[in-house]
Amino acid sequence: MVTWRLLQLADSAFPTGGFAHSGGLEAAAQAGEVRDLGAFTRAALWQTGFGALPLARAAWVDPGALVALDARADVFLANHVANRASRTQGEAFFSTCARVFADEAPRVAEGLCMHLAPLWGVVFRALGMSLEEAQRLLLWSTARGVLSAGVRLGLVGTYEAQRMLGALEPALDAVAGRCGSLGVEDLAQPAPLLDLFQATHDRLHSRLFQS
Amino acid sequence: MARGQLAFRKSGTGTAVETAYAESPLRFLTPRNHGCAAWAYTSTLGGGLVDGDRLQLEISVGPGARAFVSSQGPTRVFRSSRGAVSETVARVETGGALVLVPDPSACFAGARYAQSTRVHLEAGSSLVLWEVLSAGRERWGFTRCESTLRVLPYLDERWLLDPEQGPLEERMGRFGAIGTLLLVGPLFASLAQSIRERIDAAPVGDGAPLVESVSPLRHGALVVRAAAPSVQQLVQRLRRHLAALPSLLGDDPWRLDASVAA
Repeated sequence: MVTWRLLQLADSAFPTGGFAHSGGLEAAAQAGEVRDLGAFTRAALWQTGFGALPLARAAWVDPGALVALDARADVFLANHVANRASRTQGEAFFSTCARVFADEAPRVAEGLCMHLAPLWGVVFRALGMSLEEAQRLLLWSTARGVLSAGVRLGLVGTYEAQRMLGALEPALDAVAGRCGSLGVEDLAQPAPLLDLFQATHDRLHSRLFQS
Repeated sequence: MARGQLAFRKSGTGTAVETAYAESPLRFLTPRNHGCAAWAYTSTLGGGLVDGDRLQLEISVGPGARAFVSSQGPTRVFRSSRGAVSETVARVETGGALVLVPDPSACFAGARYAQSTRVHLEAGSSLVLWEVLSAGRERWGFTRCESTLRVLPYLDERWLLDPEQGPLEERMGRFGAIGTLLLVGPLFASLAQSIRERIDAAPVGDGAPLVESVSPLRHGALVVRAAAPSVQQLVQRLRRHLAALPSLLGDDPWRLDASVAA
């Protein structure tokens, strides 16, 4: 059964700052490199599958490893735009959870980079959420984030974006199935072009998004 | 498994090749030059890796030594069900510098390939490193290709190109090659700075055939990514970024090689 808390964490009203980020879509679209938004979103899902789910899993399984996992995320995200987006979203996600669930949210060490994926695992664990819920919501948030950025960038209409999100169910299942049990040693980028486009973000003349 | 060892040490104002040991099919060429760096080129008998090949290259650069290590032509990886592996482990001592710029890797149809490069840098050492993956003859038609790059504390990452995650041709779009260029350390600090300024000043947007990005890493290190329609365009761009390299090495390792191999 879906818990009330999962609905709250998934709600776009839960202020985690995710909507300030396009996951590289804005830079790729301005460069004229997005011919198929569905394919772009699937590639982004695989990037999350291999690049974030292993960190979230490892942190959920062993919250005590957060410092090491945060450092691992930092050297994995060499692209400065992705690195910054991970830190700002991690910070926002964590501080929101700490305010909303003050009695349950974990304390974390000083001096962390606050990367999103490992914090996600630690916080979900502390809030009593299962590993599967943590990973599925992280994955689904990626798709939702890219597609809603697509709407705001005028690449796709609202209903079409929702239709696409619905049609991504098999892809979400495939990524969750393939990547759900990966360890940190499996961290990888299956779509290095997305990373490259995203890393050009700061050079765009005009931009709606932070990344 | 075929092992290779290259060791460089400072010798007077220059650098000497202390060890150049290679097991077949790996071979080394160590041509003389007029600069302060020693040069070494790797090659493989038969011109490529076949099923089950496993190469392990160890490079050691002593204190104050400068080494340029490249390859004689691209690494071609042929059809391989069990897979081919190429591992490079390098260590650069204090004040040493390594330029590790192998020709592109190109995987053919049915190839399974894993390459990894791990570099350990002592304090005050310097590194220029690039890695280029080419689409190969069949345009990303291989079975699996992964490329790991670990240079701590700067970056630790892996590209995984496998049709299991969707058609590679769709994922790689119009691009025929993708590469990474990394610069670390005092010897290459001003070169890194000028590359960063050049790329940051370049416009991005519709129509540019080559896409590149630059990201600063800690301690003034820099990572450049680039993708181009052809591997020749990509390598030419990377070489242009490194146009000041001959002046830092005292001689030009690319002077005889005007062409860029695919």
